[in-house]
Amino acid sequence: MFVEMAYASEAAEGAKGGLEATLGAVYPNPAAIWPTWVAFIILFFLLWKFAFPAIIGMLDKRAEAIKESLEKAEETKVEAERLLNEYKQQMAEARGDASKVIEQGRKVAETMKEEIVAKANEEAAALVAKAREIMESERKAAVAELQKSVAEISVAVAGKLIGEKLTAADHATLIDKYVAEVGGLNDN
Amino acid sequence: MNPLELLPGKIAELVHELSVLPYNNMEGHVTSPWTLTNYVVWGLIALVTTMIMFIVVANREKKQIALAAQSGDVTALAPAGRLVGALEAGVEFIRDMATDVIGPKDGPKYVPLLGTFFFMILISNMFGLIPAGKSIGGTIGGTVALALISWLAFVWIGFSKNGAYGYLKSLIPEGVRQMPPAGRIILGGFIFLLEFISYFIVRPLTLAVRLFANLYAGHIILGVFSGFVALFWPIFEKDLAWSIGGVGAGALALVFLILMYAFEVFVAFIQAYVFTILTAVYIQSSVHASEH
Amino acid sequence: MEGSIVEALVGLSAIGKGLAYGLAAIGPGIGIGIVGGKALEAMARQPEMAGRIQSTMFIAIAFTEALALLGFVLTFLL
Repeated sequence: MFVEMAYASEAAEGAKGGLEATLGAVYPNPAAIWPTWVAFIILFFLLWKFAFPAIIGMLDKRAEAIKESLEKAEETKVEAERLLNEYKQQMAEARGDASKVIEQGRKVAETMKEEIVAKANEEAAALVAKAREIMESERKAAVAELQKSVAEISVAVAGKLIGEKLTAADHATLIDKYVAEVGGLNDN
Repeated sequence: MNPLELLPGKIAELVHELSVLPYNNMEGHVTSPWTLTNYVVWGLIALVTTMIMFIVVANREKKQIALAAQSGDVTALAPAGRLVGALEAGVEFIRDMATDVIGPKDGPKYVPLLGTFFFMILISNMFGLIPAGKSIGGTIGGTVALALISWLAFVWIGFSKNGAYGYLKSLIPEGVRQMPPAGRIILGGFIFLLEFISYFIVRPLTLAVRLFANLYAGHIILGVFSGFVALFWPIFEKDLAWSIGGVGAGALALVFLILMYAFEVFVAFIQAYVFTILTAVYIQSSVHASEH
Repeated sequence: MEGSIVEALVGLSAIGKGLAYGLAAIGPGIGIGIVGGKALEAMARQPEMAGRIQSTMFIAIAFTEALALLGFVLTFLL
């Protein structure tokens, strides 16, 4: 298969000789070596001085930024949870307070109502008592008046009947005696 | 005429073309080291492409960092586009490899060196996969040049980190150095010879030949299968049996060609990776030479 | 007569090249198979270490491969 090639290359190499002829396809061609070196050096300096610092700096910066963002997010989450708990607690407290206030109001209203009712009852009772007192005193006055007039009338009637003029002093004692009698009657 | 009789000639032509083709001399051999070969032209195209990609990406990232620092808005640091993302992934890959292999303390220093190897070989390999394109790894000259740079790097690091005596002493294992004088000289000398060859000759040689052999073999396989397709396809003017057989063989070769092409894309990545990680391993052994 | 002897020598040289690379590839082929198989085993046992095992595997393969590559170079030198 390679016979023709071998012929061709033998023929060509016959004139050349040396290392190139011995090595054939593995002859390291200087025409390929030095351009590779030049290319490598150019690329190496470009990457070393310019490209890699920028790209690696970018990678580091980005990693840092992501880490910071994650940390911040974690902090925010914890903070949010704390706030939520706080609000929940406050809400519960407010609810408790409100029910307490309502309860208190109800109690106050209750006591007020009781007070008012008691006062009204008292007043009514006082009114009734006063009225009864007045009635009593009036009745007593009327009775006293009646006794007096009855006594006078009876004295007058008795005087007339007896026909004897009573002295003023006798008059008075007589009246008192009657009054006492009538009073005693009245007391029964 | 039997098309198979044409095949040896085609393959000879292919091998010849892939070996030492000068850009402007079809006679076969490079006459002077200043000849512009196909490989050099495609290598320069790959170099310019790589440089443009990195300059564009680095400029954009610098602008983004400045913007983010100026406005304090971290959303300016978000990845901007596919090219940026791809290069960043590559750079991060190299950085992780360096810290993983060489160590977190010494690793970051060698990232530009390893990155230059990786991107130069990878992008050149990609250009080599374009039909009629050449990879700088497809010629032994290019791979020898790269391997010599790698060799120079790890030998230089070894000598400057450990001193000449310390570095050469580290080639002999600790246990042998503790032996009585007779054993130390005989066994130590033997091991030193072996290790010296392995360190200073086999390492750069295999670096160069591995890259070259993989890409060269890949190109030859692709060339042979596309040669099969081209050979078998136009046999319509012959009799029917030949035509059917030719088209069938051509279609089969085409299927294999497509499969091999996919495999060569994989090889392009793997070889860039292997070259870089081996350089990293060699640098690691030089950096920590005095520890073992 | 002269031509046929040259042709025979060229043919023998081609056979020698094929044999050299073929023989040189046997050992590393087996070795790389063992390395790859063991690496797969290790990765299946400890999937969390897959990344490190893989890079170590590539390094081991590279060292094993060196022998085959020397054979490859030898093929061109013959």
